[in-house]
Amino acid sequence: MKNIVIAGLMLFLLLIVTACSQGDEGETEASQEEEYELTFHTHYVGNEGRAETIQAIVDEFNEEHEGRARVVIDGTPDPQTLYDRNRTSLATDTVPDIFYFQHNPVDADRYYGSDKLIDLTPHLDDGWGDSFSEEGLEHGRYEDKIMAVPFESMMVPIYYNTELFAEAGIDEFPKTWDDFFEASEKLMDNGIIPIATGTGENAWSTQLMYSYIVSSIAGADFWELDLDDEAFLEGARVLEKLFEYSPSDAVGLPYSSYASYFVNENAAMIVNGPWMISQFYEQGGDEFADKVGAGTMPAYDGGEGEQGAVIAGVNFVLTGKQHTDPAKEEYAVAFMKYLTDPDNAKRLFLDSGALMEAASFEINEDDDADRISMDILSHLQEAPYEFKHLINAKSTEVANEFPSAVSALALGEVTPEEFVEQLANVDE
Amino acid sequence: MKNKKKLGVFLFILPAVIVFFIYFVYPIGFLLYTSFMAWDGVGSMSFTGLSNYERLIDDHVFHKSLMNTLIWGAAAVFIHIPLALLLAIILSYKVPGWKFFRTVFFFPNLISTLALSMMWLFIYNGQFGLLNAALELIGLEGLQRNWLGEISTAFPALIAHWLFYVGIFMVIFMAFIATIDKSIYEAAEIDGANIFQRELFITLPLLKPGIAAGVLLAITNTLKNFEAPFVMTNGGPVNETMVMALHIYRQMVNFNYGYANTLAIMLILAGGMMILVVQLVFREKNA
Amino acid sequence: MSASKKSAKLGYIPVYLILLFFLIVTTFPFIWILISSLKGNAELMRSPFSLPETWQFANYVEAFSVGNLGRLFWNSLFVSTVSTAVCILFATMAAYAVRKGGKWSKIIYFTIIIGIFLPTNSLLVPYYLIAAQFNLINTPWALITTYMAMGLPLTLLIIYGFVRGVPQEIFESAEIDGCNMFQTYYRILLPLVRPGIATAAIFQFLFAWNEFIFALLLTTDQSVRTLQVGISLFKSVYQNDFTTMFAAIFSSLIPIIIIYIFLQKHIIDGLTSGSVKG
Repeated sequence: MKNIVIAGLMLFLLLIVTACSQGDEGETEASQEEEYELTFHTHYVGNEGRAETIQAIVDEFNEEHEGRARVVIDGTPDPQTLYDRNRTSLATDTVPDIFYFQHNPVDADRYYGSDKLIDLTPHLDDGWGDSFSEEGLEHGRYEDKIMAVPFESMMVPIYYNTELFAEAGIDEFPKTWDDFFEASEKLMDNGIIPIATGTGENAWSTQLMYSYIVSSIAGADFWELDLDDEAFLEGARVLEKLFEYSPSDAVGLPYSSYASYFVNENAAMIVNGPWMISQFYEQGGDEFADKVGAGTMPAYDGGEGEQGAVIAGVNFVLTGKQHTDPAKEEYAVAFMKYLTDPDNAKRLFLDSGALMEAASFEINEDDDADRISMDILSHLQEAPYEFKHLINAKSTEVANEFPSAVSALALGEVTPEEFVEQLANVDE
Repeated sequence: MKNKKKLGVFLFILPAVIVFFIYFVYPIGFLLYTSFMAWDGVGSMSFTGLSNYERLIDDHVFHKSLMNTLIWGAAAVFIHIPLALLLAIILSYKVPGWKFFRTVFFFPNLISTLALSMMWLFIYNGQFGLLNAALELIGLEGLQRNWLGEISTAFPALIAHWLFYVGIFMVIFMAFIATIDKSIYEAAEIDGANIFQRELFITLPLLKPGIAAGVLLAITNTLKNFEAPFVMTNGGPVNETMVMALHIYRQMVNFNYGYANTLAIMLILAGGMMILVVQLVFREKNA
Repeated sequence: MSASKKSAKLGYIPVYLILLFFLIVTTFPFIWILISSLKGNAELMRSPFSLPETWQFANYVEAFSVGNLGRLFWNSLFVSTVSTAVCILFATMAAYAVRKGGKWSKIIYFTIIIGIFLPTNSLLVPYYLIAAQFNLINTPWALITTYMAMGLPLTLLIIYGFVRGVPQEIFESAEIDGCNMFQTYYRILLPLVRPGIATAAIFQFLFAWNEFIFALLLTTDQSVRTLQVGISLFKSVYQNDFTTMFAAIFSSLIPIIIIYIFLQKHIIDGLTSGSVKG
């Protein structure tokens, strides 16, 4: 019995020590009675590149609305877990007050048609709607209503390590896929993994790569084709070849692991969004970040796509829960307005490289924009066309099937024919 | 007086009965009902007859996960439990240091499957994992591989991470062995039985109720597997490590509530069948 | 027959080879995680097997400050303790009623016991909707009620195994002394089955402490997140800072290690008596 008491005491002490060391997180819970509390679900927390800026934006909003409304950040660091949660919340009354989701046409209809989201249409009239492009706003349209506003856009370059390229005798980023594979051979000869990618989780980089390849074959509007079209089949063959130049453990490799190949300079290229830039600076330091270049889509021999095209467009749309209390809804909308304000969009861009979908903001000489972000921005402006990646373009069913299908392709378990067939089968 | 006693019994058992109804009886009825529905969890349900069950026929992920669940169950019965028995018998001889071994062997069973899976994820890591490093140390570089990424090794590796953590069953079997009357052994020794004959023909048959309980418990645990594939492989590569619970979870988060519940019914049926087989096997032997 | 004589016959060398093998697979993973958690990332990549060149205790500081471990511990402790207490309360009450009651209470008992064999992971959708129905999603109570219910059949089995051994006469004499049913339960039964309660409580607490899938599903707010869900998010929290992640993983094991060091005998004895009686 004495042992139980001692063990209990030890445990209790440990808990007190750890509970005290965790900062002010607990205090935010106490609030005045009449204050509206709104939760903002996000994965921009902890070490994430956007976390500090998002926290600052929330703090400013809370200061301005002190005594009336307060936004509480509810962080789920893992994006996939966050998406799963938001989806399951639709089945109950637990939809977060303010949240975003990765846009794809099928999921969007389910969210907008659920009758649980706020109708943003009346709130867009006072100029808020003008801060978005017409095309961006279309992402939130359901019947004649706007149920969500574009939140975060993406421009996905192919990052490459200029030093590793130079050591292998490659002067510039490949302009065609033939050059690309030739360069990859040279990198391999130097003992460098040409491209960091993996098929773990949602096979993020791999699906970006596949989108790039197929667009170079079939041009801008390739998502209108069936997934077992000749262009996709051709793309699958190229993708299969690409795995010869990927890490040997690419199958099942999660994002954090293949990203570390690139940041630790074991690999020369990675396809990813602009939010990765902050990781270059934080984990690799300035010395590493200076070596990182941003490449764009190579052209495919005989293909319809143009060199320099980029994956871009709305990735996340911002929305929230429908409230019976109009005042609460008003505050939720006020926060969304503040979050998508062009000034804040610019801050997020400067701090982390993330591209928020808002009215264009001017970058001045005296703004402390990092070089990589500016490179990306100029690539975007010069791009002959933009297109979406697979996860934004197709239903969740396709996105879920992709990792297992592409693993099978990489392992040689299925032929490219069977691969496209498998994806086409789950696409309605 | 009699009625008062009845009322008392009723009131005392009532909380448990209410809980049982809400959390066991109603959910199973709900699963059965919704397994005949097309339902995305958001909108309303519509009756679709047997179409969810027909979908099972073509769902190769379901086939794979059911197969994996059965293989895992078989590994539990034919490897996990025998290993636990072996250790229990050895330690029951009270070899020097047996208490230390018992304490250490039992420890991993207190750790959550989730934390163990996180650890083993890195042990199997192809880049800096313990397993590959250990193979290099003993000169077996040829065996190094990406354990969780290759089709041939992913599922065996997943099972192996748990296979040797037999502590809980070891302790249970040791408790049963301790109840065996020692005079039986002495009699056997006089008859000239050696140590292996003694264990095989005396200890094992006497342990049968304990083994039966252990097997049932192991199978029930097998059916609940979720954490290891969720953390270590997410069901991959190519659904090679998919298990029933993970498949159900995936269907649920992808708005296939009706089908998720059909799969749940299948899981319950599979469990029921495995338990039935175990009961029949042990009854037959007893007769 | 003495123990040493027996083991001599068993043959020491093969026996200790077997034990050594199990010792390695049991302890090495933990030792490796501990050692690696004190290294730098570059060193881990370079030589996964060696001792740290410089001991990076800063990993632990970083793990605690970024991972919010204190809150995770606290949430898990609260959920596990309360669900265990409620579960024990309901199970002891039911066990007492079954002991006193007639045929019907026995039927109810055996029906509830079957619940042990139900693979509860099949009940993802219903449990999620039940918690939502009672407006419990995102509160610790969603987990407390669900864990309490999930653990009830096994808890009842263990406790009834002990209650069965209490002679009816004891209850009867208490009643003659003027105790009502509640007083008999509280003053007579509970003290008599204390070992059973301890065993069942250890099981239920460990189950609740280690449960993951329902914690993932039923609580989405970081303020109520439990330790297991927290661990599952480490991969994203620490990104490719693996050694800090190892520090976090090892830290998450410390409470259980402490409990085990002090309660080792109780836990193993509890399991022993529980399994033979149950």
